[in-house]
Order: sequence, then C-alpha cells, then structure tokens
Amino acid sequence: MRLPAGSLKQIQTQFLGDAPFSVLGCVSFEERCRAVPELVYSPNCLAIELLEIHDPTDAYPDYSVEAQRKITRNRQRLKRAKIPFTTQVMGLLATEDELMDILDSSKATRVTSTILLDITSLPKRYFCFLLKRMMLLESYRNIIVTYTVPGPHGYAHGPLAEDPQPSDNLPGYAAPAIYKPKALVISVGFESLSIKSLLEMYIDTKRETKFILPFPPGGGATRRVWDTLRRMDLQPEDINRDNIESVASWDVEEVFKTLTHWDGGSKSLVLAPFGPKPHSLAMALFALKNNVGMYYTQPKSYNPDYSRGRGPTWAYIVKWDGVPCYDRQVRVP
Amino acid sequence: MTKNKERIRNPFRELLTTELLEDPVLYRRMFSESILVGESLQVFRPVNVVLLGQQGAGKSMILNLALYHVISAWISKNNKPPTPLDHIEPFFGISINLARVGFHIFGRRSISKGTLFDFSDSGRDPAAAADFLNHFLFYEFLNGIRFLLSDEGVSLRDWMGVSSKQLVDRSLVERMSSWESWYDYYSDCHSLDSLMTKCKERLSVWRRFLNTNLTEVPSDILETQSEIGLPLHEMGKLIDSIGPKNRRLPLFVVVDQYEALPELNLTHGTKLQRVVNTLIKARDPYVFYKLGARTYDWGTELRVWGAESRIEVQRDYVIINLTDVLMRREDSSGWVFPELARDVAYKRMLKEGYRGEKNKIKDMLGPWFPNREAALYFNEEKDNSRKWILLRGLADTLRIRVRELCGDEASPIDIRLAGAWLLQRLQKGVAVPTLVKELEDFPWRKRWWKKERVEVALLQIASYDNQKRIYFGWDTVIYLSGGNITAFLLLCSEIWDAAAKRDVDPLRALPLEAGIQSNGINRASETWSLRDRNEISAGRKRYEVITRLGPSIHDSLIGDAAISNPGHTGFSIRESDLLKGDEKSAAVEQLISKAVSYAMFEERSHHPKVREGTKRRKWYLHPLLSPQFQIPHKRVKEPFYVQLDVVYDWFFGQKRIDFGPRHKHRDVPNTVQTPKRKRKLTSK
Repeated sequence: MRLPAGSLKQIQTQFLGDAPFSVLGCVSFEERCRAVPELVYSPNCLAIELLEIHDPTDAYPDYSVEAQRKITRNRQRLKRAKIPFTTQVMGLLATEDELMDILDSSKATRVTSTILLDITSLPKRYFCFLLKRMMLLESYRNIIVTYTVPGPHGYAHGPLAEDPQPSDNLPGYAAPAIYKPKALVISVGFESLSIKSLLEMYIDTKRETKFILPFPPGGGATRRVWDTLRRMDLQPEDINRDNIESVASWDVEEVFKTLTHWDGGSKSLVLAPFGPKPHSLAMALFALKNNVGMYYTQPKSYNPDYSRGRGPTWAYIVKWDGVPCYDRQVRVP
Repeated sequence: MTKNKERIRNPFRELLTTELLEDPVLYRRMFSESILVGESLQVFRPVNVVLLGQQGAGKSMILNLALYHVISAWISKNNKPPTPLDHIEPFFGISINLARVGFHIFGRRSISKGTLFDFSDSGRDPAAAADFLNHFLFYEFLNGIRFLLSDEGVSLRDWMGVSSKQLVDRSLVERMSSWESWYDYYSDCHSLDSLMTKCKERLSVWRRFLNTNLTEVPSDILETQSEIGLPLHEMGKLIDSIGPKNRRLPLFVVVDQYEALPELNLTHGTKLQRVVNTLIKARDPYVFYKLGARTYDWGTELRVWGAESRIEVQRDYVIINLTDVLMRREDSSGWVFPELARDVAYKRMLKEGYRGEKNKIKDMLGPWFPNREAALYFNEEKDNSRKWILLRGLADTLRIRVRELCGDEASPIDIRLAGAWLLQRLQKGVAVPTLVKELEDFPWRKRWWKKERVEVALLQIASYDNQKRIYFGWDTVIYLSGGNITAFLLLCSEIWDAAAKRDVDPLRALPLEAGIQSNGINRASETWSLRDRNEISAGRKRYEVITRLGPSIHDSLIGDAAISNPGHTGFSIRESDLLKGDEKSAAVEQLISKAVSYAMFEERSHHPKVREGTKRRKWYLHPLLSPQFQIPHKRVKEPFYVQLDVVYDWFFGQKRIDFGPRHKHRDVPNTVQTPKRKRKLTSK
C-alpha cells in the first residue's frame, strides 16, 4: 500500500501540474461541498459534474424543503463564481444499475483519464461504489479522492442522520455468500444508526468486534464518539486495547494498515464504515483489495445543518498511472 | 471490588443471545424448553410454518432449534432432543439468512441490462435469484451431509435413523450431481468436495455479477439456471430415502429476513418475496419451510412468482403467533411466559457461573403487593399524617369520616381509593349525608371496584407524594415484560446493574431493595424507548409519537381523581375505520402495525361493551414504557374509544395530544346497548 496524501494544493502541485482533469462530486446542502470546485477550477479543469442527491420521500424527519433551499443556494454561489458544472439528480437509495449509469452518462469522466472524486458530501453508498468502478476500469488512469473537513464549528449538535434502513451491503461490496467472517470491524463516528441490526446479523462474530475511532477530534467530539460506542450495547470484554485503534480522522493509510494487521491475510473481515469519510475510504480500498464485505445501515434522512463552514481539503492519490494504491509496494531505501 | 466484579458478571447483559444463536453448544445451554408448548411445537412438524412475533419475542430462538447442527448439539449432550420434542418425528434442518447472503440484491443490478436480452424482461432477475437460492441451500445441504458423515454427527444420525453406510455410498453423490434440475451443471462432480467447490464457484459468479465485478453473467450459468424449488424437492427426497423405511424424514428449511426484502430492495423486494412464496405454494411432500416475521410484516405480499395465485393460510401454511403463546390473557391460567422467563434467567445465571435454586430470580425480585408498595409512599418516620392529603378535594365531613373508619394506620391505598369512590359519587350528584352513610360498608374495598383501580391509585399516590412510582417484585417485572423475553432480560440486566452500582450483591440481599429495583426498572424503560428511536422502518417517528402520547395518558389519569375511567390507558378504534383504505387510515394503520411489530405498542383482543356493528381493536403502549411515562402497566377493561381522525392528528399533527374523555374527541358510539345493559335500564 502506498497512498500519497496531503493538502489538495500540495497534491495538485506535485502530481497534477498542468495536466487536464475533471471533477466528480456532489452539490448538497453543506457549504463545504463547494470547496473543491472553487479551489481547483482552472483552464485545466475540463469538466465538473456534481450529483444532486435527494432523500427518499418517506424519510423522517422530512427535511426536504430546507435541504433544497440550501442546495439551491450552493448552486447559485457556484454560478456566481462563474464555475461551470453539470448535475445529475439522483435518489439517495439508487440501485446498483442507477449508480453504474452515473459514470456512463457523466461527461466529467469521459473527457479525461484523471478524475478528482470529491467525497466531501457524497453519501458512502455513492462514493464507495464510484470509487470501486473507477478503480476496476482501466479507462480511469488517475484518481484523486478529495475531502474537505467542516469549519471550526464542526458538526450539528443534534442527530446528523436518522431513519436508518436495515443492515445492508454498500452497493458493490457484498461479502461472498459462503463466508465465515473472522471479525467485524466498525469504524465509529457520531451516529450508531441501526448498527445493532448489523451486530445481530453477525452475532457469531460478535465476540470479535473491533473498533476504529477517529483521533484527535477535540473534547466534545470525543464524547460523541464514545456515546456512539455506548449505544451499541457492547459487552465490557469487547472494549479493550486489542480491539480498539485510534487513528487520525484524515489518515487513510493508517486505517488500511490496521485492517491489514487485524486481518492477518485471512481476507475474512466484515467492515462497517460508520465513521469519518477518510476512514470509510480506507475500508473501501481494503475491501477492494481483499474482496471482503462492507455493511451499513443507510440513513434515509440527513440533517440539512449537518456541518458548518469549511476547513482544509485533503487529497489522496488512490490510483495513478493505472495502478491502485493498494498494489503499490513501499520500497524501503 | 464487589461492584466491578458483579457488574462484569451480569448474566443478563447480552440481550441478543436469545434472539440469534449460531453457537450450538451455547444455544443448548441457554435455550429454554418452556417455550415449546402447544402451538410453537408446530414449528417442528412437517408443515410450512410462519412464526410471528414482536421484535425480541424469541422467534429466532425457536427456529434455530430446527437446524441440524443445533439439534445435534442437544442430542449429543442429552441423548435426545428437548423433552417437548419427544413425540416429534426426527427431521433434518438447513437455513438461509436472505439478507446476509445477499439474496435481496437481485434486481438492483439487472441481469438483462447490458446483455442481448430484452431490458424489459424483468422475469430474469427473480429467475436468477431462484437459482441462487437453490444453489445456496444445496451448499448448506451438502454441509449437512458432510456433518452427518463426521464423528460429530453420529448422535444426529442415530436420532434420524440414518446409517453411515447409506451416506458413504458413492451413488449418493452421483444421484445429487445428476439431478435433472441442475441441467448437467454438476455432471463432472464425483465427490462431496467437488460438488461443494462447484457450488461455491457458482455462488461466487452470482456475487461478482451483483457486485459489478462482472459486466454480465456468463452464459454457462444462464443456460443452467435451476427452477425454484425443484432441486429442493430432490434434496428432500434424498433425505427421506436414506431415513428409516417405516417413517418419513422431512427436510426443514428455515428462511430468515424474509420481511426485510422490500426494505432492502425497493424495486424488486416483493418480487423476491414471491419467489419464496412459490416454495411454500408447492406444498412439497418432502420439504417444509419455516419463516419468522415480525407481527405485522407478514401478509403484505402473498402472491407467487409468475402468477396471481396466492399462498393460503391453513391450506399452504400455518401461522403461529408467539404473542398468543406468550402474552397474558384475562385468564392467566396456563400462561407460559413466567415459567419461560424464570427458566431463561436460571440458565443465564448458570452460564455465568452462579449456582443456586431455579427460583433464584424470583427470590431476587421478591413479591409485590399493592399495600407493600403503597407503604413506601408517605412513610416519614416522625409524622405519617401527611398521607391524608390523598383525600383532598373532599368536604371536611367526608374526610373526617373516612379517617374515623380507616384509622390512623390506614394504608395510603385505602385512603386514595376511598377518596376516589367519594369523588365518583359526588360527580353523580349524591348528597354528602347519604355518602356518609354509604361509607359504613367500605364500598371502595369491594373486590372488582378496587381491583380495576389499584394501579391508577398507586400512580396517583406517588404523584401526591411528589415522587415517581416505585417498581419492584417478580410479578411487576413479568407484567412489564409484556410477554417479550428481550424486555425481561433488559429489566433483569438493569436491575442487576443498579444493585452492583450500590455495591449490593443481587443474589445475597434477597429480595433486592425496592428502590434499587425501581432504579433499574426505570432505566430499562428509558432504554426500551430509546432502542426504537434508531430502529428501521421509521423508528424515529414512532419514538416521537410515543414521547407525546405517553405523557398525555399520564396527565389524563393523574387528573382523573375519581378514577372514573381506569381502563383509559389505551385506546380503541373501529376496525372498519382502520380498513377504509384512505390516506389517513393507511397511515394510522401502518404506524400502529410497525409499533406493534417493534414492541412499542401492545395490541390486545377487544370485546367492547357496546355493539356497534363492527369490530374494534385496542392498543396500549408496551408495558415496559409504563415506568418512563408513569402510566399503569396492568390492563383494565374499556380503553378510551376514539375516532380514527383523532388518532391521525395525534400521530401526524403538530399539536399536543389530548388523551381521555375530558377532551371533546371521544368516540361515543351511536350504538345498540348490550342486552344486559338494556335490562338494567328497563328495571330502573
């Protein structure tokens, strides 16, 4: 595994240079969804495609009016900044067929072989699937994943996402049908959603549940993460140093290494990405490399005040010159 | 030191263990045979069964016993299956968890898309799903055969009456590989291992396609697609053929997560259910399907695949409702749940290394009597005269008379009931001098009048004493569980933790102090409501409704000082209104059904006092929610009759819920009085 990562500016300078590229991202109700288009728009940026994703109509609470107002505001601001972009309007619970169509009908992914996949506001079921397709298909030579953290005020204090669906694989990441998992690894975040339904499904591996916690997210956030753990109704013996790893919330490579260590070459983990997006990214990369399953209880309703402001943008080179990062060996000098 | 040790060894903490146990040895140690009575024994008979029950009621616990490796663990240890199965013929059970194996993904990635087939040919996806199901169950079947061949499987083999000679017979593999329903897919397989390898390869192809690793399904897979149920029929026939000549040896197939299909696959979920329904419709003489579903999640799609015919209850399958088995009826004789709970608790204590009598849990919680509870309120040592405020709202003459009759040592329950009786009579316009005379007969102590009002009276006493009701005792815990074993375990677990926090050993301080028990019970109640908040199928909405409805019921009861309507802890709606099919009735019906399925509401049979030409149904909050909202957990006849429109406003409106007859929306039926009532009126 070799994953060059850094600030978007650094990665742009060192890897992109003057090469043409395009952006595939999301225009959502979050202010930070505009960060990458605004930062990278230049003559080299051949296309920007932003998915507009709506919660299902039966979602509860129904935030559709407020969410739409904020989405419209973000669209207007991008237009005011004279950043041209195209959009595809999608439903949150899109099927695998519909998700495959995104790449087929996207201009952004046709005009250049270098894509910036901005996962900032893309739901996990979207970005993990798009990542998988682009990692597998040879036509995508260079893929840079970008992620903008919220501003100093972080996330909303109330629930960030609600009304979960039953436990399901993320599209494209179902575990093999005949499969005896060794352990369930949960990346922990601010919401436990219906994670108990996942624990029920993997009750036989419950004794081997492992956790990845984001670190160091600040005092209040630490409490929220531990509250999430508490809501999982775990056994006291599940919480011990061997089962918990704290990893910086931006550190994709470290999460990948942790998973590799826990897996021990058995390719028999089950992954549950409930934590920060970069941790989910690491899990997706690990799942692709090792053909293991990723499971989630998809919320149907997202809080339109999910995050406030925008912070730094990180970038990760997950595929370069056709070689996925997990197939690149680290050379020891 | 005691605190930490006892908390870690809380035998009730792992609530899930009763629901899903895939460790056969642990299952044997934890399973309670007490649940295997009457109807629930049907699960183990050669008939298609749909087992219904609330979330956490123990459906999976029962269904898992049908699996070959689980029953085998039991037989290996005890030389026989659980005693209630003594008269059940042996069987061989395999299973599939539809969500876990990814059956629900079929159709989300279409087989036709990207191939030469017509895109609109939507029948290809259920056909593919059927093939996947056949082959997955074949793999499970082969695993079972391999188990029978192993040393581990000797006891099971003996119980089934199968000889190892028949199993090692080479022709067995040849028979399986040559079934016509496989279309020669397994024709090159000559051993059990090669069959399993080839089967696994096929399942892997389907998985890779659904995961979008393959652009299309290889032609050799498409050309050998098996039809739904046919290979299973062959498996059933094969098992039967290796069993004893003089009796049938049926194949049981346990299907889990059937109800989740429409939620996990919005466009094709019900089509996939129809594939499973087709298996049931076949009424195979060798294969019998056992499905578990939450109470109201069964019955929304009963059609079979490719036709409009439906599976019919009693003809194609039987329904067993665990609620009927476990919930207390008006006549509590033969009520199974207390014995089940006691046994489950005992087994958990044993597993955790605690030794003791089978009744240890009952001893730990102790008895409950209304007077014992009432004595915990207004119990200041120096001056217990404050309790006479329970007679507030009454004229001095009446208060003095009650005090004279009951004496200074009167129980608060006696005082409150006397007060309620007087207030009722006053509301009816009876004069004070008449009441003074009537009091001589202690009418508030009459059995039925008192019985119906004790619960509300205790809540009011606690409220007058400015405190929450104190919950304790075995009977209380059993009532609060509402026939749900998970609720019972949660209660026990929280009580145990509450004791450990106070450094009290729960098994030595018998019975546990009421205050400790009450702390644990209140915490369990809070956990029960929060548990649903993050549940699927709009748990957040249910939580929001419950947190508005509960306080409203409480206010209504506390405000009714005369206790005129002790049954108004639940509500009743006309069934015809619910079944109207318009937007409002559908929304109300759906919310109530899900609330019952997720054990937030409790539905009880209802025989209304009035005849109005239609049936009624009544609902209460689940008893375990009662402590949180301070409402009675025991049910009394005659709930609050209410119109559907009003319930719609409760659930979906933004206003405060006004529960009870003091508000204008009571549903006063335009009805014919019952003959009994009529006679009474006539005689007057």
